[in-house]
Amino acid sequence: MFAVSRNAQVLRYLLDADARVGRTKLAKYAYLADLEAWKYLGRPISEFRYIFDRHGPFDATAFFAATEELQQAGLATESQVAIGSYVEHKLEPTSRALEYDFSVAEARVLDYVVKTYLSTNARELCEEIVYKTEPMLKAKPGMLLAMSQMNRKPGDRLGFSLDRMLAGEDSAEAGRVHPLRSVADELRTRAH
Amino acid sequence: MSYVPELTDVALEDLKNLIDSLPSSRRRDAIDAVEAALTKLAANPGLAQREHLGRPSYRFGFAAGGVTYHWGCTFKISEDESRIVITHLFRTAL
Repeated sequence: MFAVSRNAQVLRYLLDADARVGRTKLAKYAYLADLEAWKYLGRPISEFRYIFDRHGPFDATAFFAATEELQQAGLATESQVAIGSYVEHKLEPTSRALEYDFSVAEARVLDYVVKTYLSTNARELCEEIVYKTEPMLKAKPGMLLAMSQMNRKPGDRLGFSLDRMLAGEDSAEAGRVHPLRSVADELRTRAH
Repeated sequence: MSYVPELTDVALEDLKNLIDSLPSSRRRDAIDAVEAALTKLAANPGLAQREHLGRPSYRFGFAAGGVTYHWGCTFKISEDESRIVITHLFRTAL
């Protein structure tokens, strides 16, 4: 077992879900996943520190360090594809397996982001989604994005909980369910 | 099309905790209101919106003891499309 940084794990996980994605879209996937994670878990998944860069939210130093780490570890390869006058840098996962240390909730957030935006091209993803996110709308070029402002994890113990929703989905899969009618009858009896 | 409403054991625990958080004089009304709201959802899942990582969710309000409460749930439709399974119940903001 070899140690892989959290940022490299995030990128490789996203690559496994959307192989041969370009650098731009990969970086935006990571940003959107961190945004959702802040919202529901009160913390990011990666350790990227997003700056309002020329092409949107980006932590260039950490991102390129992570892609380099993936290539050095034999976990991804990068190729250049000419699209007209533009050169796209595509990343692709190798067959080498990697054991991730994500929680179930973190993995589901990453899955959700890729599933939601898989068919969206990089330009649309930037213009229609990423640039319209709250931290981007509130930031100025060159500024660090205030990702923690997205923290909507309720202090209310009876409020929405991503972990409980996922546990509920597992229960549904396992058939641990109760008819509403009998639940209500039981609770009414208790309430007397 | 109407579905048979069911709660997972997680949602059942959520509901018990929500009910227990109310003054005892309001619990009976709250149980009746939740049953009515979830039955209404089962009759028309189109009332739901997509949120919480794209899951269908439904918010409802009810009055108990003269106080208005706002709760919500996430759910899924069973593969055979006969049941609506509430996966999580929670308190919401307005």
